Amino acid sequence: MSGELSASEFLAEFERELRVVGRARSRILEEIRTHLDEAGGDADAVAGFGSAPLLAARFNDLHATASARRVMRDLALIGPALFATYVMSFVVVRFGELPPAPVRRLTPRLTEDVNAFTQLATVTTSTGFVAATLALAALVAALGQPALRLPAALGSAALAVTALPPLLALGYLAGRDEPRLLAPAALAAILATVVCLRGQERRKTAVTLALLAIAAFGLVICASVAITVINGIPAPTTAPSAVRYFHLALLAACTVTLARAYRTRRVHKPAEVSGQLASR
Amino acid sequence: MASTPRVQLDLLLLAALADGPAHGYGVIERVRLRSGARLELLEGSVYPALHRLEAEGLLASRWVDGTPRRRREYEISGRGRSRLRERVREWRRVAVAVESVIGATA
Repeated sequence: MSGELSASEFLAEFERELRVVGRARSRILEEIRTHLDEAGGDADAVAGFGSAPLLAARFNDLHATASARRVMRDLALIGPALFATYVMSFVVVRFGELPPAPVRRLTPRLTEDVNAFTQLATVTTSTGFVAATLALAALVAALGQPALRLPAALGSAALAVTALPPLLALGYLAGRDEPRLLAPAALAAILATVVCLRGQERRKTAVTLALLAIAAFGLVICASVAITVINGIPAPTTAPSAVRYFHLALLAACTVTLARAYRTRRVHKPAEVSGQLASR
Repeated sequence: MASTPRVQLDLLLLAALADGPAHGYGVIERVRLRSGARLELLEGSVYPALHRLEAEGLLASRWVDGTPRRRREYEISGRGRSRLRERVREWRRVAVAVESVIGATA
């Protein structure tokens, strides 16, 4: 029991179990150390912290949630960007032309007939690749946890893998080689994400990342299906009819996986403390 | 040892910090003194809660010089004061309701 540990033993065990990294880690350790110093290394103060692994788990959980929220905020930009790409496709099909590229200097290697769609497709293909690799990385990181929620992880993996062909097709349509050039960057992104997730509560962060990737690509698939249905002709990335049906099936799988992933999320409630009445 | 009541940790921490900034050890002492030593917050609950409240924007913190080492001092924010007022209202409503139920039971 932690009450039988000295302050230094407690701190050592706590430091081993704490997975928070960076300045947040330094701050937590310093605060706990300062408290024990002020309490004179008192056994009651050590006992008041409870079990070192449990205390570390509380901090790990708290910081993993905060980190996941930041990822959610950043990844939320990907869905609208990809959706805009399909809106562009719709404009081409309906009106036969696109506005010129808004920022010509951004892509100096492009030919003179570069247009807004080409430029936007280049940007969104890149961001889509990042989202796909993060989804795969989430799966890789989550595989290390024995309490893995398979539906959410499998949905994430399926989505990441099946979203890649449309993205590659989009890049091809844009006349760019970015998809191939992005492969080393995608691999680096996977490795970097796995390393970062290793220090956190992996399952929860992985589920959050998977959820966001699913939401982003689900939006893209919805737009693709809508364009196909409205126009009666294939959208750029759904040329064969078999692919269209595949996209519909994927949309259904995304919806089911999204619902399951949402149910696996834990709801954080305000912590309650046990107050002790001292006998007089 | 008497029975252990369960209280809202957030309410206690925000109320303790409403009087002025304090570090973790100071907050625990403040609650202990103001409750007449009837409530002793557990360190293992307090520090994660302080971090969580800060992440929610209800508290702000900074390092201040101390002896033998510097301390992390917490201060309640404007949002924290609003949340405190809400929690106090809720607590008083609950307390009145519970009192009505238990009545004059000794």
